[in-house]
Amino acid sequence: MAAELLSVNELKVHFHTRDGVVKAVDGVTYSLASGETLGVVGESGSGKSVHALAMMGLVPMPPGKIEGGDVSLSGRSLIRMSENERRGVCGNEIAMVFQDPMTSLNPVHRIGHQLAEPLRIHKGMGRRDAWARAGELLQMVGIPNPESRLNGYPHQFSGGMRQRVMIAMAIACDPGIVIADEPTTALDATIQAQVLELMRGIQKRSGLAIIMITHDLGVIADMADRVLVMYAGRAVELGSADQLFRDARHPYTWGLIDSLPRYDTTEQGGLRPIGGQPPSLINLPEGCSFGPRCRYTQDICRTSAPALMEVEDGHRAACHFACDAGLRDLSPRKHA
Amino acid sequence: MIKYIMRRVLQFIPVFFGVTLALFLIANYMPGADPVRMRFGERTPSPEVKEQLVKQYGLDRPWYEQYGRYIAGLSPVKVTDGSLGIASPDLGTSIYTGRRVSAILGEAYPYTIRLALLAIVIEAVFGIGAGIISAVKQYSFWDVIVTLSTSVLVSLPVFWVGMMLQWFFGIWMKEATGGVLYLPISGTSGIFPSVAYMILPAITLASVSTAYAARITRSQLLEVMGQDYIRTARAKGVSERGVLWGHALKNALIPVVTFIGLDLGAMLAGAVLTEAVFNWPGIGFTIARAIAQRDFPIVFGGVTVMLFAVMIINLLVDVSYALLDPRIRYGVGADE
Ligand SMILES: Nc1ncnc2c1ncn2[C@@H]1O[C@H](COP(=O)(O)OP(=O)(O)OP(=O)(O)O)[C@@H](O)[C@H]1O
Ligand SMILES: [Mg+2]
Repeated sequence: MAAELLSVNELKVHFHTRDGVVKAVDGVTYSLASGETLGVVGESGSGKSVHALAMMGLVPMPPGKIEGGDVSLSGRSLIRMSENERRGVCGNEIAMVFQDPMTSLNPVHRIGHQLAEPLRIHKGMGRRDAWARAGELLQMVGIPNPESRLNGYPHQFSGGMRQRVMIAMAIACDPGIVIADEPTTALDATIQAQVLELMRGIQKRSGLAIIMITHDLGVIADMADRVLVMYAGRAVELGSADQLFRDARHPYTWGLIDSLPRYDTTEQGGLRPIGGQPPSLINLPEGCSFGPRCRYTQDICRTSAPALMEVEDGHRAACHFACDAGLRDLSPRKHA
Repeated sequence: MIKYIMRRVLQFIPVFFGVTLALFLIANYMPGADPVRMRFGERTPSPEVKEQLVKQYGLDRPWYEQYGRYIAGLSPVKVTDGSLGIASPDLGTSIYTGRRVSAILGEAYPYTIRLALLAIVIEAVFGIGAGIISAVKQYSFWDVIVTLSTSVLVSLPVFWVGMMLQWFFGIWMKEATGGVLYLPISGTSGIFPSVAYMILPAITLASVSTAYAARITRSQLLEVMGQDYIRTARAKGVSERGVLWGHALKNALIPVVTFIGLDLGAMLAGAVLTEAVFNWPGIGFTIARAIAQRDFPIVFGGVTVMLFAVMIINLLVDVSYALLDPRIRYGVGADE
């Protein structure tokens, strides 16, 4: 495995709201090597976006607060560094692509200006050089006539094109890591595939590490080397894509895999969502937070929260029975 | 753009005829003394003089004929002795003083323009400035001050504001400083430098609008600061200052510029109350006096000039709106 680039250690991000403390991210630990793609999956509200925003210093504070833990990028803490220092890092060494390309670009600035901005801030480029480089970036993400497109405004671009612009902007300063928060959710299927293909191509050429946040396990299967499964603000399973698809140990992960459309059966209604609702992040249930929805709940699940335990090399799961061969045989995908 | 301007100019035509026609009807059916009687006050004119005046001003003609004469007078294309010619528009003569209306308005208008320009500068600087401070330091001491004072200000009657200013700066301060430091409260000339006479009326005229401008700026800026593209800018490593000045302000000020521009139009149409309180001989004051004296040529002429002024300002506002917002400049609609 290549050198460790990013390490997230027991990161906790809480929101202090009128209704109580929302534990959006409550102890997440993982690491990322350069050139690697980590998929982050989980249901809506599981804290995927918030954990990424925390690294970028984009959590609104208040109500948000980093309650504990750390994120270090090449040995420097992204959490404890000064605002100034962070500004030098964000967009330069670590960049982010957001979910909604329609609203993520500034409507009153030319595309070229927005693309050139990180180059001018971080690379000290002059107006002309940055503009020229912006043209190359547009070319790189597959936008035809880049010179004239630089003069265009966001509303003159379609959703797919805007997401390409966002990607161009993220890779402008040649960062080591790009966090992509559901970069294709807002796009239709063919455009989705193109955008993912584009990201893969860029990664191959530049050795970029990608954190790919999604609730689409199909995207994970396509892109990810390793997968982090989040549930209610915690990591419930972490392993290589192969380990997870072949031998998931957490019932929640089974549920996710099970809810994938299956092409190998003629079963009606392909998608089978996991029953029940995610818990309130303000009043997490005692014991395992997935307990109330788990089909295999035992007494211990109701009283003690399971820690992440190593089940095989590089594969960890937070279930009391992760190493219990008897329970594992119940995995619905065991045959797949 | 040219097409757009043409369309706006064409739209002005029905507005112009609508307003002037309504005025003629009101003037014709307005109760009270007739214009000729007003001119002579207590004295009774001889029947011959009276008849001559009535004839001269066409007051014995039905209103639609008077209206026709007025429109014909305005028209720059005239038929003289069976041949077409160009002549400058003619607004007629005052019944009360016998002077040309254009001369009377020409004297009054510079006063109104000067007052309006100073008021707009006050409104733009203090309104936008207070709005920005208030939004950037939301819920701070200054925000509370701005929010409270603007909500009080918008509910105060203009003439009351004017009279309070007169009392404080003109009377109380004069007494408190033994006649050393105070501001003139009426008229346009005297022992003070001429700008001094504008200060209180301009503040009065600007007061309510400044409060509105501050509130619009504040709410727009707060809304814009929550937009996705602001998050994108931060993710690029743009400083907070850069976010405010480079990304947020231009978006937030679009509606503010519209408001201030339209307000300038309204001010150029004459500030009747302010001009009355401060005896400021501008267009509003002149028209108000003319209405009291039933001096209809001045009223018609004044309203005509006002209409054109408002139309031109509105056009300029539209053009500047398009300059600020590329979505309007180029028409919305994505292409790929
Ligand atoms: N500004 C905020 N104030 C209060 N709560 C917040 C705020 N932002 C996020 N949260 C809460 O944090 C939790 C995690 O949200 P997050 O956006 O990380 O979920 P997600 O996993 O990205 O979901 P999705 O798949 O829908 O994007 C949610 O319960 C959300 O309500
Ligand atoms: Mg999200």
